[in-house]
Amino acid sequence: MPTVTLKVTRWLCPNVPAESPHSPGIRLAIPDGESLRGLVRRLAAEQEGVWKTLFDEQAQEIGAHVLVVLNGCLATPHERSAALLKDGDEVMFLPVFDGG
Amino acid sequence: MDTRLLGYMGKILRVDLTTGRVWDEPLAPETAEYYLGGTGFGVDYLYREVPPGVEWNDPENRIIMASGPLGGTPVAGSGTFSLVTKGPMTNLGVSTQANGFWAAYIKQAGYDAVILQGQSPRWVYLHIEDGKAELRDATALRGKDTWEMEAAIRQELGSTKRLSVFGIGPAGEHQARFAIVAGDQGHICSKNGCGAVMGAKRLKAVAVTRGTQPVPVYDKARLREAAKALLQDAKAAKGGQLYKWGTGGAFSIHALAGSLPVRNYTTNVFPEHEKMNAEYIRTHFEHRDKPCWACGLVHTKFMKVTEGPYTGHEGEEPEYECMAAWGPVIGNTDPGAMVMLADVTDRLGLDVNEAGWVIGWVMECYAKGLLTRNDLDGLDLHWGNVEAAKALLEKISRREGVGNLLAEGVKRASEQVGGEAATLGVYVLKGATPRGHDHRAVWPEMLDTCVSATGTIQSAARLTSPTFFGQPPVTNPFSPWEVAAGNAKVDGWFVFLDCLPVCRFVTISPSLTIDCVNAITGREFTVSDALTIGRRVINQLRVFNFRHGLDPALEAPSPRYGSAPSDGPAQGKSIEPFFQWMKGFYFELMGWDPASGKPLPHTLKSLGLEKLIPDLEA
Repeated sequence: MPTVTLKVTRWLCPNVPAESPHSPGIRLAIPDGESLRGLVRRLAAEQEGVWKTLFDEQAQEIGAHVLVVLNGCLATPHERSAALLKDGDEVMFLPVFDGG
Repeated sequence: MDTRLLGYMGKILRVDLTTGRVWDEPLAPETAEYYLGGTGFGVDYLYREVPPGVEWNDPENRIIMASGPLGGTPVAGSGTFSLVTKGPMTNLGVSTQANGFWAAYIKQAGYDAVILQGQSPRWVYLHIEDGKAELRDATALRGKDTWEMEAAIRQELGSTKRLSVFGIGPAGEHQARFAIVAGDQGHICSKNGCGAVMGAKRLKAVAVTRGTQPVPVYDKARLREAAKALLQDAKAAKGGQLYKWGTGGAFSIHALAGSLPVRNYTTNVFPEHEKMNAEYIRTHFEHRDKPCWACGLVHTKFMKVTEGPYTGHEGEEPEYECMAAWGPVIGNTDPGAMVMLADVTDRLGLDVNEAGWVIGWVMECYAKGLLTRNDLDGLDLHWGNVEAAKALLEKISRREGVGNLLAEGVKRASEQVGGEAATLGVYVLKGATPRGHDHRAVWPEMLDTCVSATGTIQSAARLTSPTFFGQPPVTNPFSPWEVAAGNAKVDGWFVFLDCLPVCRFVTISPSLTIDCVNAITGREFTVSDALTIGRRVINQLRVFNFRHGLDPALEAPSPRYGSAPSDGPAQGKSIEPFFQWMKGFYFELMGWDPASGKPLPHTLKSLGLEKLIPDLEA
C-alpha cells in the first residue's frame, strides 16, 4: 500500500499530533488510488479532532480556510479535489492567515 | 445628553501650531452617528479642511488622531487610535493605526480626537491632561529616538499618573518619507510617512495623561459580557496559536505557504525559518508581557536577546512584519540580529516595511554590482550584513550621505538610480509600500495594497473569512474572479474597525464586535450597517485622493512586486496577465467606474455622500 506523510499545523487545530509543520508528521498507509480529498474526507469520518476541522461537510471539500501544500507546491483547486496520492507524497495543511 | 453621543466625550481638541492656540470644539452628534470615530472622523475632517493644492508638508495639512466609541471601555484592544493625514509616500490620504493606550487615555482626558494644523516656529510637544492642553518646548527632545523621547517626557512631566506618548524619532525630524509616529514603547502608526508630516509641523510628540473622566456607556452589564465573549473568541482563534505565539508565530506558516518575502523577492525559499520564528525566539530569549489597554490577548512582549553577537540587546519583541523585514527580506538568519534591527528601526522612527524593502533592494543591487561601496558611503551591503543595514538605517533617519536618497523610499530611490536597478524595487506604483509578505502568493493582498484608499491594507487581511458575512468562501486564492470579488464583498469591514478603532486581532468575530459597539452606543448596528459605514469612509477617502491627484493607472504593482516567483510553493504563479482585469472588476463591484476607478454618483448617494458628487465632477 502506498504511504504518505501528512503534516498539520496547530494554527488549524490545537490538538494535532505533530509538533510543528516541519516535524516528521504522520505517516499513513492509504488504499491505492485514493485522492487527496477522499483521504481527508475518510479521516474526518473515521476520526475525531483535527481531520474534522479540515473537511467542510457541506461543501464536501477540504475547507476553504485551509491551504494545502502538496509536495512543496500550493495545491490547485483541481488537485485539492482530485489529485490521486502516490507513495512518498507529502501533504501539508496550513491556515489562510496574514501576519501583522 | 444626546444619545447619539453615548460612547463619546463630545469634544475635539484643536491645536494651531502656527499660533500656539489650543481650543476645544464640540463633536457634532451627526458626525459621530455618520462616521463613528477613528478613521471616519479623520477622513471627514481631512476632506473638509485640506483642499487640493495643499501638499503633505504644507502647514495647512492636518493630522487627525482619533479615538472612537470603544476607546476607554473594557473592550480589549480599544486603546488603538487612528491617525489620518495626507502623507509623503503617495501625496494622498492615509489612515494608519497604533495599538497601546492612547485612544483610551484621550477619552478619559475628555476628548474624542485631536486635530493638529499649522507649523510651529520652534520644536514643541503637546501635553493633554483632564480637559487641558498645552504646547511645551521640545528643544531638549530633538534628536532623541522614540523610546528616549517617551522616557524624557515622562521625566519632565514628573507625574505618577500613567502617560501615553506618541511621537517621532530622528527620521520624522528629518522628514524621511517613511517616518512613523511611534509610542507606548513600540506601537506604531506606520504608513505613508505620517511621521514626516509631524516633523514638517515641528511637533515632536503628543502626550496624554490618563484622565479621570468616565466614558458614557449605554449598558455596562451588557458591555462586560460582550467584551468578555469577544476576548475569549480571539484567544481561541487560529487554534489558540495567535494567543500563544503572537503574530510571529505565523512566520513559519508563511515560509511553508510561499508567502514569506525572501531576499527582495529573488527567491521564495528560506529553510532557516524555524530558527527565526516566534516559537524559537520566545523559547530561547527572555521576554515579558507588554499588554495593551484592557487586553488579555497580550501578544506583544518586551524581549532580551540571550544568544549570538547581540546578546543583551533589549527592546520590543519583533512582530511578524519586523521579522520578515530583518530576517528573510535582507537575507539575515540570526534571530538576535533580527530583534536588534527591529528595535533600531522603531527607535529611529522608520516604517519597518519600507525600510526592509529599501535595504533589500540595496542588497540586491549591491550583489549585482549595480550599487557599489562608493555609492553606499563605503558600506558593504552584501546579503545579511546586519551591521551595514543598521548603519544605513541611521543614515536614512538623518538623511546623511546616501541616506538622503534612500530616505525617499524604494520607488523614488530606484527611479533615481535608474537602469536595471529601477526594475528591482518592490512597491506600488503610486508610492505605497506593501507589507512584509510575498504577495505573489497572496493575490488578495496584492490587489488590496494597490487599490487601497487608506495607503495600507483595506479589505484583505484574511483574519476574517467572507463566511462571517454570510458570503461563500474564496476557494481558489489564484482565481482572478474570486480574488477581486472576495476583496470587494468584504471591503468596508476593516475600515469599520478602524472607525471604532480597535485592534484587529481581538475583533475576529464581526457579530461579537458589533455586540460591544451596541452595548456602548445603544444603537442596534448590524454587520450590514458596519459595512456601510466602512464603505462610506473608503469612498470619501477615495474622492479625496482623486481630488489630490490619484492616478488609477498607478494603482498597480511595480514589475518586481507583480512578478512570478521563480521557486517555492507558488512558483510560476503570475498575477500580471490578470491584474488590470481584476482591478477593473473590483472597481465595478465597488460601484466605481471600471476604467477610471472613480466612485459613481449612485454609489456616493447610496452611502449618503451625494455632497461629494460635484467635487468629483469638478
